[in-house]
Amino acid sequence: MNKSIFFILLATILFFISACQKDVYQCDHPAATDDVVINRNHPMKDSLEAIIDKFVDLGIPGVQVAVKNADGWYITGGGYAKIEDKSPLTSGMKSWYFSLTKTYTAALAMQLWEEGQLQLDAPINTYLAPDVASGITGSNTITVRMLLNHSSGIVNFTELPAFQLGQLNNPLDQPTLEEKLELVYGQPLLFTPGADFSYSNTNYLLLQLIIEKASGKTYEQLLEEKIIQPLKLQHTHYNLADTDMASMPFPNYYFDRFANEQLENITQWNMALGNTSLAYGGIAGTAADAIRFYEALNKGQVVGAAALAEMRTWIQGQESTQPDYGLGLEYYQYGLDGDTGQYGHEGDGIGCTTQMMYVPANDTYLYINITAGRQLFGPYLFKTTDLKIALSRYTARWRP
Amino acid sequence: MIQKMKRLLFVFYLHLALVAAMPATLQAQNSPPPLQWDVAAGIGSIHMPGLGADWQQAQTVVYAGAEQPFNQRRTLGLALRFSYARSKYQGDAVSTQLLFTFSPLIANAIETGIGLGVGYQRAFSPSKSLNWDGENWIAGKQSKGLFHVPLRLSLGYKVKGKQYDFTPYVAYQVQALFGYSPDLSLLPQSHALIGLKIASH
Repeated sequence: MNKSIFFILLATILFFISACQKDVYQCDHPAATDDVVINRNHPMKDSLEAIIDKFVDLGIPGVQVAVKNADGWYITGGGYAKIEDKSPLTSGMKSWYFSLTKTYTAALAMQLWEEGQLQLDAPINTYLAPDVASGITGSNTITVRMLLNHSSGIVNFTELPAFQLGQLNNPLDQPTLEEKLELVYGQPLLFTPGADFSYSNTNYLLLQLIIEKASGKTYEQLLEEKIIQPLKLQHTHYNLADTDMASMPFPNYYFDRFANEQLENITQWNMALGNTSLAYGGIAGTAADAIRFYEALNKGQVVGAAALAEMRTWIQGQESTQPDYGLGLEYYQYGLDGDTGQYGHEGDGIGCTTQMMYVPANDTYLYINITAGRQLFGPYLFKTTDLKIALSRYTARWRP
Repeated sequence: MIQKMKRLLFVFYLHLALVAAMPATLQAQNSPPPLQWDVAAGIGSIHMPGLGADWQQAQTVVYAGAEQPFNQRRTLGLALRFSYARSKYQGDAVSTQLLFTFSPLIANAIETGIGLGVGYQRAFSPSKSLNWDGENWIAGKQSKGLFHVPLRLSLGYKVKGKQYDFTPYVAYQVQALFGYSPDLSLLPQSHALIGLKIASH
């Protein structure tokens, strides 16, 4: 009996100790002021808000949507910037773009191509330091273009167990660029370079090094000098200091750890991940600034017509039924039969998912930011993806 | 609170059933060996050798349990252990495990050991979770029950006393969690432990 009492007491103590909940990741951020002049009578307003409301009713914690076309700007949202205090999402809020960053990186590469500083069809070992090139399998046959359009065959380091276990164990202390590259050194290629398509963040990690070598400047300098300053993107940021992050109007971010629709606030984790995602995902900004960049890109204010044509030269993977990717641009087909495709980019952090899409058929830009992550399979993968598809499909098919 | 009491009762009845069942398996022997008590502490991480991951942010883990030997030399047995593992960023966990053990003695003093079994873990969220009830955000479930398969390797040194034998040991335990989430199943955990076994004559 004494033994039984011992075990019961032990179990009780253990159970109650471990049941104590803390808030490990929450952040407070200031409110955000409006960024643009919004057309309150925008013709897309009612339909966008109906779609948003439908998915907020399904448990989407927060979503911000921005559109721009001939009828002007409309920025709206649903849910909360932070569930815990029910603070609203506002048009001036910033968010991590994550892989939308790849379009910016590709644009910088194409600017260097236009200036003759970068050859798209040169092997990457031309530009990489010897110790990096020697670690990348096939670096003498993989070209810069193959990195840009994800046809290199290099494994995606974010899908490796070593990276994922590191995220779980040490989420606020993200690996450096060198540590990320070391994960892929010596890894076999997924296919012969150029023979297929496989999205890989490693490609854009290597592109950062190549761009820096070709230009003689850091990625941060180039982004500031070539894109942010010329386009006056006052709300676009890269490599933020901790104090800056804490003072900026970011929403809180959530994720469904156990795939059982229980959302945890993981804001600090998402912020740490976003701020260290470098040239493959490290830019943050407002919805309006994202649209301003893509609009400037399409209008030839970032790269010239020939470079833009290269960026919109699509490749298609062997298993794909439609084009997959250009240079820093994803291809979509949400339109009506006969429509030309749409393009842009999606982005995914641990606590959010974003999308930028341009619809040539109606000259409309769509930006989406949802404050729930979909990196793990589960109900929120489907809720967030279905919301993006619904918004994209509506925008692609809308006609004035 | 009611849910916690139900779980506590489950743990109690499970323990009672196992403790009651252990001597019954030894009825053929004239005098079954007494229980051996076991406590250990160490560090743990989400890790498994061979995955290319570093041992990172190792945090505290403690074990307490008992082992019922099947033979007088105590080389075969059934161990029941409770553990608490701390994880600041991914949530604490409490576990109960049942392992079959094989612990041959070398030179009558060096105890090697291997144990394999099954376990039940209650994995807690590191922060409060929220659930959408269709109209409002309410407090969500704070933990998830998971089954796992533990494998323990140990090396100890038996010190024989007048009434008790003491075996300090070091152990490495790796366990694979099932059902953490569809993309993280199996989720590996590794524990490096220093412990002490106490057995009466």
